Amino acid sequence: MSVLMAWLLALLLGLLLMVALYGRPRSPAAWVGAAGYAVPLGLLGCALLVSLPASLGWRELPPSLWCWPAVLLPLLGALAWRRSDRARAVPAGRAVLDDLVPPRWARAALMVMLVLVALRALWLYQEAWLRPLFGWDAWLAWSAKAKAWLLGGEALPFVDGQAWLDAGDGGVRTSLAHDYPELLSWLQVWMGSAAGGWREPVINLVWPTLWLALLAGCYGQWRALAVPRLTAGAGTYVLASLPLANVHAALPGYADLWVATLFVFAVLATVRWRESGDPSQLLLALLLAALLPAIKLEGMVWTAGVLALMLWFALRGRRLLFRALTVLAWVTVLLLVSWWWELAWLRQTIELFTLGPAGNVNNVLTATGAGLFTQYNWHLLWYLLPVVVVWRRRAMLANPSLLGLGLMLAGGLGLLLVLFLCTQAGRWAESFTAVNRLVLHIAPIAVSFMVLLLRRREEPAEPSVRPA
Amino acid sequence: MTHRRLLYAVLVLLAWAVVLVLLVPVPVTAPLQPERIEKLDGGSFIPVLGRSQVGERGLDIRSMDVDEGALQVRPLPGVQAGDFQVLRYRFEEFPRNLELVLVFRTREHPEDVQAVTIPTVVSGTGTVDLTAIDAWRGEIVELGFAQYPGPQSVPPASAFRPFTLVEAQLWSPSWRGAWAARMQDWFGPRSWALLSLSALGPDSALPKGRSLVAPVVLGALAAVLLGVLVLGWRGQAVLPPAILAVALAWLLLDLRWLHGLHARYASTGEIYSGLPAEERQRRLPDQALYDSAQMVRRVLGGSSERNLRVFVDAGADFQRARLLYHLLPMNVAPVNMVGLGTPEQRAGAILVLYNVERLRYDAGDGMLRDATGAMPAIELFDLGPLRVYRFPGIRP
Repeated sequence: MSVLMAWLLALLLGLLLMVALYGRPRSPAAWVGAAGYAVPLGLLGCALLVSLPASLGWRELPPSLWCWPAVLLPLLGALAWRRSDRARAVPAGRAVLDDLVPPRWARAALMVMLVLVALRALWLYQEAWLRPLFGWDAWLAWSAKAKAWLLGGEALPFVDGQAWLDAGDGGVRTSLAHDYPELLSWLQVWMGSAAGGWREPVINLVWPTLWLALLAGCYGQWRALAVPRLTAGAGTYVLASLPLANVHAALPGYADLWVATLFVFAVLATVRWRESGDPSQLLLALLLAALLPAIKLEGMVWTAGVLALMLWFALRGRRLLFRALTVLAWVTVLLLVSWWWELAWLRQTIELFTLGPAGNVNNVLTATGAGLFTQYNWHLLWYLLPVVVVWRRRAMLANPSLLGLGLMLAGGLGLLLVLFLCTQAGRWAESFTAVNRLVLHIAPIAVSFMVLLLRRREEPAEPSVRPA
Repeated sequence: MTHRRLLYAVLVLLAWAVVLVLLVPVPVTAPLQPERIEKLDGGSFIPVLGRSQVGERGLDIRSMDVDEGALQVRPLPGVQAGDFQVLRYRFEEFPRNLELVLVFRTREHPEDVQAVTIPTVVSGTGTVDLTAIDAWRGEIVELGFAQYPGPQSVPPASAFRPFTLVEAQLWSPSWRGAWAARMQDWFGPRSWALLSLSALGPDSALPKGRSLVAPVVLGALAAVLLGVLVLGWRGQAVLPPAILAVALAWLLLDLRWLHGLHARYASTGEIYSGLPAEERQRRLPDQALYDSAQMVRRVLGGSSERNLRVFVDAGADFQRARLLYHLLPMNVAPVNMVGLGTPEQRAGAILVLYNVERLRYDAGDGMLRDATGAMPAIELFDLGPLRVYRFPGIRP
């Protein structure tokens, strides 16, 4: 029962936060989108809240931990109440696909896609529910910390090996992943406390739910970005059918699906801010971008990407060189701040680069190409992306938000290639252990980019506004 | 226009046929049906591991051996590997969670037993392309099948169900055999592996086949290009057929993936379905490590006292990492990361070793020794792979 209450609490918190930021959704698509965003926001909000006492030095974890986030309900409820009467408007849109397909066929196609998504969701939930925690990094990194804290009843800090050896009172713990971000572990602690202990099947259900949230959030944002129903539905099916994303929902415990979800949600909110001028979307994007480094070390890189995209959009109307230099300056500032604070992500990145390339260039390129184009990870995604970009290049060049999004996506892909070619990460590419998981971080953005490219809409986004 | 459409349809089918022909591992001149078939009845196989008996339909495998495996072999009357390109095999009620391995021996290297994972088929006929197996050469003098639970993914005690080896057949090169092997490679079920979270395709131990993705892309591309060339699609007219081609190609790949996903889910269901959550959480692929952790916990009095620090080492990364996880919430540390510290740092701490050869204990002088030196330790117990020691002294 408390598990159900915990889920309701997280969803309610997430929804109230969405309403407080953005106002009450006024259309089914907007509700779907808000619900999608509410899942990671609510879950991670609960995780953040229960982690706060430990970060302030209070390390005891009482059994009633799961209901702590309820203290946020009155505050968020009040904020949501204030925003609930705001009228919202969504631009009407057209897209290539919807213009081509007659409505009767469109409805049939949507039904088929919905059935395929629903069937998949059923199997993913069942797999996650039945099988105990499976993935290597799951029990080596995030779940190990959570299990230690929850079963020990005490959130002892994880330190490096030397500090663990030196500590005389046993007041610290250690693991190979001692410097990994801990928010997901806290989420597992929170969910475990609701389940009354370390119950892997219950905790595992978070992952397929996040996968559903990813689909819902993207669908809602695409619709709000004037993508009509068939194109948005087809995009959702494409996203839902990416096999590697399915695997991360079926075999829970990895952080990559979280990074992918938060990253694309932040980027879509940024694009929506750019196109609609709605500052609440900017706030939402900032909030999501801020959560990324708390999930995984490389989340910091993607946060930098989101912030660079915001800067790029904010400087619209300025000269291209000025915008590019400002974005570069921002990245430099971020690097300096990370160096000053000795952040783990920069330390690991420097280690990777200073040790030099590890893999043979040929092997790395072959393995990366195989991961994208011939293995069964992405269906046709990486074949289609360049085709759609070339086909819709005019639409892209005419729309600064799409151009910015395209630049960021190209930057992300380029960064991954540099990482594999020039650093020790080359070994991960050659062994197929990381290349696709890192690509998963940007795959939903690639799908979003293609969906948005299919729109038939000119800048600016003001025309024909209809009530949502 | 009708003629052109007909021509287009024929050319598209031809293009697809060419793509498929290029991917089927058989010479163009090969016959449609195999000219030679070597039939091997299930009942002719001899059980080497596991308990089996000849039944009405073939060899009934009733149980696995204590090391959780089963093996059935039979001698061959000097079969030349090059004469046979395809192995067909039929099992009935084959357990979804067992790996199926083809084993064979050659006259050239009789001391080497070759073992290759091949696709499992629950009930029905499986086909494997033998030319994809490097070791399939020379004169084959013995052939058989082995079965064991999927490593690191299947609880050994839950994987086995009785099944029947009905028959196996060796086929000489033919289009039919090559096609069946390709279909099995593309659409046969796969099991979850740790690598599944990182790459789908390499996560299977099966002989390396050819991806279905590239031919699907080529097929869709051919359909669109031929439309441009033959039907004169230009400009906006290309769009509907191109989108349709992409949609169908995507759907084909997705249906294949869904079919595989369902097979993986069915394998999971065969083990865990109907069990309560607590029982599922205890039914693990690394049951021996879980039991070892429970044993350590019992010996140490169930203590999860944070001051009791526990060094953990194992012969393999997987074993070490899993043992650490199972021992939680004890205050554990991996030896490959922290080392064993100074005598003061490890005073009073516990050392848990699993399958570690490099550290040997001498009960005579109470010392643990490795290549670099020795350290005093008190043996708490030694159960073969699992050994537990306490370092002397009290932490100041």
